[in-house]
Amino acid sequence: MSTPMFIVGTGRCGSTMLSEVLRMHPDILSVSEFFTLVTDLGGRIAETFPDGDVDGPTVHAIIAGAHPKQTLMHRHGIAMSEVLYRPGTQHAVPAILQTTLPHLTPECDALFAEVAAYVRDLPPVSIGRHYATLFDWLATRFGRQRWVERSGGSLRIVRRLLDAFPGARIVHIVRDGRTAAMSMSRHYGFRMALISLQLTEILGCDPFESDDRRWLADVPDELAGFLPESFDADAFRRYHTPLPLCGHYWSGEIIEGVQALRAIAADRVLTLRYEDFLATPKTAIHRLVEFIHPGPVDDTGVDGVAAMVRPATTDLTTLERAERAALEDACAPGFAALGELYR
Amino acid sequence: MKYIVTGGTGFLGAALVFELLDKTAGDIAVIVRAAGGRSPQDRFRDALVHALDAYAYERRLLDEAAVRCRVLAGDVTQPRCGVEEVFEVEQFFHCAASLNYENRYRAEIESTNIEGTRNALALAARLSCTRFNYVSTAYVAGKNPGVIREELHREVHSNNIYEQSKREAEQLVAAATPFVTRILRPSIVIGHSRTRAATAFSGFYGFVRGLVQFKKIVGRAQTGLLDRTRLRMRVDPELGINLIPVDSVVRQAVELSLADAHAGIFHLTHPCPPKVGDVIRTIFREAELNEPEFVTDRDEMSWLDQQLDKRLDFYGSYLVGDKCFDRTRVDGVLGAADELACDDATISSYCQWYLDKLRAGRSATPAFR
Repeated sequence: MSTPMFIVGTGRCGSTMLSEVLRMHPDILSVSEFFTLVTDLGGRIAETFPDGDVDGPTVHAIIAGAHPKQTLMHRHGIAMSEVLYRPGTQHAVPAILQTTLPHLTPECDALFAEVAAYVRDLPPVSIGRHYATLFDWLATRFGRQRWVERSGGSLRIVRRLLDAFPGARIVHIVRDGRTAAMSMSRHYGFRMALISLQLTEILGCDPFESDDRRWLADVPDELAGFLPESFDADAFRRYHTPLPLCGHYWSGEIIEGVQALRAIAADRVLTLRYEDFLATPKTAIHRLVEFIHPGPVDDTGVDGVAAMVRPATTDLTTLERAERAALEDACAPGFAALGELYR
Repeated sequence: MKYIVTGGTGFLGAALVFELLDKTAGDIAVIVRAAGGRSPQDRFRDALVHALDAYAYERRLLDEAAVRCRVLAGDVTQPRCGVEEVFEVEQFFHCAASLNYENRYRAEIESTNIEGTRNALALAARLSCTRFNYVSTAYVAGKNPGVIREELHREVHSNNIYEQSKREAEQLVAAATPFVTRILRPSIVIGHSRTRAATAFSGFYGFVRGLVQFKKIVGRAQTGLLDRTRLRMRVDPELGINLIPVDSVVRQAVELSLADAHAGIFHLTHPCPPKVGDVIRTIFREAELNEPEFVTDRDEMSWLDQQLDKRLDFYGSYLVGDKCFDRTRVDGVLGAADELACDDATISSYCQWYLDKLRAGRSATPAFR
């Protein structure tokens, strides 16, 4: 088995770009958005990491399940930009088929059938071993020596990853919280996750998983149109995810994530700044590749992928003063946790 | 039939039925609608059992109910509450109400609270009822400050549709001529003074629940944020907040009817309410939140404070604007009000009871890490 390798971040921090960069490497299998989609945007974290040994059919149900939030988003034509498999709004799409498999091959339906058959027959072991086995199998299937899994917002599950994959090495990609939050506020996946977070705590259950509506009257009018039974896709598109909420969320992810990563050996973690990929892409890509796959780095390849790095589209100066102040206030604890990185 | 009651499966209505069973000898007709696949009879029996357990009443009252209560299938939103049968009734207690307040419930609120009252009045007239007791709310006063008299409010800026609907219903009742009409205005009704238990959870409980929900939303977004934060609230801490136990409300309501009080408006309120600042500090402490800071201006609030303010907006009328509910008329009939404990320990115990219930009643929420 190859060393488990993950790229984690708060989401909207440039990690998708890293998946694209690694995809170009001949020895590395870039596994994209596996945990984002299997956890149904963070709503099924416990189900994704069950305790004890589990058998193949259980793993199959986790990775091939068509989960409720994504199914709802598909049906209403508001899938995240990361979703590559779009068979039409009438079809519920298995989690692993949404991005992870199409990211590897255009023949993703056939690959899905292969994966399903392979996984179903796996003997009972821990869930971490199952996922590692699957990723190893995929790496072999595509002629790569190792795999790197990268999911947007996976800093949230970094403790789960470290528990499930002992010895895992982690790339932590960090971005200025203010611009990350601005990007989150526009992103459908985060919009859904942050709406769901609020509805869940108001209703005392995940409304996308449960029909318990005993506290329905507590749901404010502005969120009532996002319950699955009364979902209003136009209202969803129009909904303005509050920037300070995204900022607080970013800070929370950073504080918890940094704490979790400090608990493991320093040589197992590489922290990279998104801004460094923009400013000095070749250097940043070198550091990334050397950490993941030690050995000589093909400079020609680096030049090629460095050209893929695009400038950010978020601009703090577009914010009104009060909004910017509220955002900066929300991001302050996250910056404090990052210490020297953003001083 | 001596009495007829609407809303008998509700928080106040069920307590009222028990008070009538305990303090009077008359038979009671109860108008109950079928709901959730359950018959009116089942719903009423379950509501009584629930209330009896909550208030630790004697079991004999259930036996009394079996003999003296008669359930009529009906619905206050229907003409004459959907009751076709004609029989004579002395006293009508109209307790049924929608306690919702969000705009999307406007139709339901208006249908239940305004049309429901119109329908109840029509039924009362048809049954040759001589006394009509309408359970309103002291908070029909809306944004009006100062001494709130036991009289109809001519000019009011309501805080929400709920208050507005209750005010309109009061006007319907006050204009009804065939019978003596009493408008009973409880303040914020809380659980039983002895057991602390309640059977429905708006008002004080809605505030506590809203605060807990807010705490959990923030905690899900960022663990520990509220441990490091003192929230600011727009509250005048020196104001009174009028909380009244459900048993005190129904005792006063039934005593007014037994005393055959004249027509008019009666404030079923606490004579010496605690300060809102003290109550909120207690609620925050019980909810394991840092003591809040009280401010007067929204500009002094952070974004987080403003989100809490928005979530608890419905309760704003309890928290700002000095209101003192005059009890001259009700005291004139019943004598000076009883001493009702409303100190810090009492409020704490009400909070604890509800927080325990909330913890036990919530479905499992998904892990977020």
